[in-house]
Amino acid sequence: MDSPAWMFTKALSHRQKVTRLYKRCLREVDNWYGGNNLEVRFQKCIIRARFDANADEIDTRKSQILLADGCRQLWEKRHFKPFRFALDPGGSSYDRERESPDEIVDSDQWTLAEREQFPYYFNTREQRKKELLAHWAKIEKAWDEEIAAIQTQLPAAAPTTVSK
Amino acid sequence: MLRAVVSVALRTASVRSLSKTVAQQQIFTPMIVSSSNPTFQIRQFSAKAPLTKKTLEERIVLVLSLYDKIDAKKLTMDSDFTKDLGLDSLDHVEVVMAMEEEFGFEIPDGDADRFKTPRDIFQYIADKEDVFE
Repeated sequence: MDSPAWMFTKALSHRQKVTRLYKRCLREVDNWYGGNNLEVRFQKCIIRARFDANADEIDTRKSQILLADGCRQLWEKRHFKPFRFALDPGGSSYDRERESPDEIVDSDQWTLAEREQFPYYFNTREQRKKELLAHWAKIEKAWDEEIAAIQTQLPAAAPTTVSK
Repeated sequence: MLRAVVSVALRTASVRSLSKTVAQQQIFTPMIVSSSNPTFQIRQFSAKAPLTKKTLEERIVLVLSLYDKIDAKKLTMDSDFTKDLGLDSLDHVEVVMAMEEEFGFEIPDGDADRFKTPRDIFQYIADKEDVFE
């Protein structure tokens, strides 16, 4: 299995670096000109044109210098209060939405009349519970099989050294 | 440069009675959540509008079809961004940013690199926003 995306275990390719720089540049435009849609659009088009102008650069050394220069310019024009989405970490409403614990919904205080009043809700809830249990049973079975396989079988792709 | 010249010219030519600046004239309009039916919802930035699989797919397709480099006729949920729709990597970044703004949360670059089709975006947002119905 591949490592998760937030765990950067691989070096980024040049293309990835450039796309990341491009995204940061557009966000920087949003930071500075946000609210003025026409100006934002205009500045974004300029940024796009500047990236497109050197899109077909073959000389890797020159393209690396261009990338570093772009990063420098982005750093020089960084915003004092960068944009965050409201519900993201660092945003104004982060963690504001409180989710009530699941046990409240699943209480056995519901009366039969209430259960009959909302059949779809209660039936789907029972269905989801069964699905969750089935899913866990599958996972546990896989674990058991793996442990049993360790006890009985030799690892298949073990590196073998042949000595003569 | 041309813009600066034009703005200076406009400023000198403007009448004194138009003393309101551009910033004062701007009116805050509520953002309209896109939906197929013409009932207008106002996004209040307190909690997000509840998503279903159907509305999620509709919103993704709507955002993509409004992007000017994507041909809306060729667009399906399984069409590849680079091969079928002919987007380059910078266009892909713009698409991902449009998705971020539509659904109101940031998509990390490492996750965005894995988006090949609209279906991938659909699956990712469904996972993140707990959409399963």
